[in-house]
Amino acid sequence: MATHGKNSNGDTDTFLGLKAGFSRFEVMGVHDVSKAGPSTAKATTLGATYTMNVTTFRLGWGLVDVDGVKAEKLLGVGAVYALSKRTSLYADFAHKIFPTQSANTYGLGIAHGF
Amino acid sequence: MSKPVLAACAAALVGLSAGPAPAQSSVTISGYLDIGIWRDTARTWQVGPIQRSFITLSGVEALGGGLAATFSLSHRFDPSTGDAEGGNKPFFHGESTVGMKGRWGSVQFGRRLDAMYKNDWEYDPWANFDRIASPAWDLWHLNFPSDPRGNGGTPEFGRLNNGIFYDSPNLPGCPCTRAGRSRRSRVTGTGRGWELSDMPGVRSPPWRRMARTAMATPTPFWA
Repeated sequence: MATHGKNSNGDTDTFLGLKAGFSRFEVMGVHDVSKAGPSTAKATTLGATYTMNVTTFRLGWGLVDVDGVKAEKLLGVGAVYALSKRTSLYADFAHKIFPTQSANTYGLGIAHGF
Repeated sequence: MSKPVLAACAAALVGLSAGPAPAQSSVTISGYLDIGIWRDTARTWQVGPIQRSFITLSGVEALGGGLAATFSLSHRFDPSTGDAEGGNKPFFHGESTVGMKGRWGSVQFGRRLDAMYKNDWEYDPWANFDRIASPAWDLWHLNFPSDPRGNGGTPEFGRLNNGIFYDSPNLPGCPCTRAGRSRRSRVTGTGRGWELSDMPGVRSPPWRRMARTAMATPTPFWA
């Protein structure tokens, strides 16, 4: 996917995404450059999923550079367990690094589509 | 009543029902409910949506010749309180469109995800739909609100108000399965995006189909 957008303020975004599937694996990568006035944000993300029966494991990494400053780095992992076609349980964990601090965030959830 | 009169009545009823066939139409209620418990980056425990929750009313009416009228109204809310999502967001924050579709693709008018935000989620393991671990949620489009004043004067990241949206049909023989274009024309300015999206042959596991359903735009029109 290649996209370019421009909003009513004149801000722009150029987005390039690639994805491939190998059996139960999917791998994907994105480079996104968004500009607002003099500020430029460059984000690079990589991700992978692996599906085993009704469970899907997810892995993601990303970095965003805003005007030369590494504003955030992120490593995320998660798993989603499909109880049915409509209902799933999931768990996520992420380690996020900001310019002056880092933090872990994690949680459990339930989702139902109808 | 005599048999001839009965026969005349039956003939009249047959004649009345022999007009143009009524148009086929349907209305669908769909939605997604998500809630969880998590510890945020400020080391505070939270109970509430980790992804997003919404309820959508959508419909299609066949007009003949492959043409159909469509509409979609999608309300986003916080299932932990029942409140609408965000103070500045419109009631039908997710989508509010009416349009037409045919062999040539579809056109919608109103408020909807723009071309970029409508398709980028395919390239994130969490479908850009998870506040804890999704790299896309935290890092993409940092300087690019799709509509800088789209939510009661505050920025909207994803949708355009007062938009005209075109989605092409799948293009045979082309590596892209969708192409889209959106435009906003108002006194406040213009915004537009275009994309060629999706790589062919990528298998969709159940959770991803679920995420597709969960995206703010319903699937029947363009997925």
